[in-house]
Amino acid sequence: MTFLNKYIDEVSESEEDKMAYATDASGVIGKVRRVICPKNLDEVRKAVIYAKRNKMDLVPRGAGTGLVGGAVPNDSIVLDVSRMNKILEIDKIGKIVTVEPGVVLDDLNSVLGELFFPIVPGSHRACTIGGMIATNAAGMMALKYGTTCDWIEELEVVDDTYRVKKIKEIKDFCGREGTTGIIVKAKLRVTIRPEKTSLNLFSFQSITPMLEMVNELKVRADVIAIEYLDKITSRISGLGEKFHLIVEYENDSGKINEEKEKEKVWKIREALSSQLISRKLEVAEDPWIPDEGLGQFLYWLAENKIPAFGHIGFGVIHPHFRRNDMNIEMMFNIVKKLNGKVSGEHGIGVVKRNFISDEEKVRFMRLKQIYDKENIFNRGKIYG
Amino acid sequence: MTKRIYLIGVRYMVDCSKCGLCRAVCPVYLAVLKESSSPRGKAIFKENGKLSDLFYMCTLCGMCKKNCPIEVDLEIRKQRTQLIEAGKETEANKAMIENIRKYGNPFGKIEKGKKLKTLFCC
Repeated sequence: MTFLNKYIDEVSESEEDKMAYATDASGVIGKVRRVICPKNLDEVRKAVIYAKRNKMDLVPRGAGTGLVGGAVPNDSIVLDVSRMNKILEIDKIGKIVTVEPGVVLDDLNSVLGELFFPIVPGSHRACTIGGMIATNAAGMMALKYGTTCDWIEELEVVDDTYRVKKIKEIKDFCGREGTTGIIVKAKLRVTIRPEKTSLNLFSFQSITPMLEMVNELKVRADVIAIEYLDKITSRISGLGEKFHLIVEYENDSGKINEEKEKEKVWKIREALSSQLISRKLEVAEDPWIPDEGLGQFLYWLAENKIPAFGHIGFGVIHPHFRRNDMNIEMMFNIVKKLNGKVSGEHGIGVVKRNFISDEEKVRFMRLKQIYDKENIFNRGKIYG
Repeated sequence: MTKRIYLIGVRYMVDCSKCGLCRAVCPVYLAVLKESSSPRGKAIFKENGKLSDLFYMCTLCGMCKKNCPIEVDLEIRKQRTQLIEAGKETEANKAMIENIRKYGNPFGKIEKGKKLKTLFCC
């Protein structure tokens, strides 16, 4: 019996597991050495001990809904935290919840009653809290509620010393894609769920008047989300060939008030990424563009017939490309010129390693020196 | 003829996008909590021509297709047919078919005076 089999219930080297865990929503395909599905902290610690002793790479994985290959292994041990899915404590008065990393966002929100965790990525039905922290997920309500990092009170992690550490330096783990250690527990802040929400669906013939409306809406306190659909994605969604904005209000000032109707609109929006990926537009980008460059960027996408949608109120746009499309590199150059960021919410993973700044590289190396000197956590992601 | 080829082409162009949203609704995945038991895992096996026994781990409830943003059909029955053709069949399945052939029911020989077991369903 090996060390892993002795201490961990679910360790697999089956052909099926190796195949299923070799990829994630990015479509990047890697190679699995073993799959471990820990059900508690102790099993995570044993996995870290094993990886360190054998100098193996340990790739933490939530729901595998990431789009940059952050959970794709490279001859690695995959640590699937889906079974660590307990909601440990709900403090409704203090508005704090304590969860294990495998808790699914919608499962958490379904038990919080009048409270909710307000970061809602498109994958909210399946994505795990651990994955959201690792990628610093944003999502459709980022305009009002920001990103995952803004809502973390405390993290408990296992680093390369195998010890469990309470972390207050949230940004050393949030958005680090599992390169600094394994998140085993999270204390999250939650807030009061808006009593009533409503939607408006606006359509436009051109980009300029649409952006004028975005600027007007952004300063309104009751606007939670402003989502953009270009002409191509609008057509695919059956909305006709126009630019569209989906606007969500935390009151009844929108025209779409019925729950079923609202759900229908959000389903259209949430299906877009899959719609494009299934049409072989598999590369889903997520640049963040500052307000002053947004018009120029959207015009460039439209002129080049690059399908795009996104959280325009937050400045994050999701253009989709075919693999090896020359326009991808061109887009990154434009993003840099406009003082934007190549990744607004998906993270860096393996897909965008070549585009991180020197400043980010230095920060990455510094964190590795603190938490993972021997480089056992998610090797080759972000940088290195 | 051309039209038929075109239709087949369109059907198979709708590949799984690997978004993983099916994990939220699949009763088998939610019980096992492993990627290989999820509809996405099965889509990967199907794409790679992997005839896995895990195709038997499906209730055929159809929730994955219903909740898939692009309504991918995993064609589980077709996969099972291929598995049987390749000689990969579960022992329980073999016994049930044998009993149906021999005795007209999946349970086997019913002794005189004894009743059939009651089957419960949703």
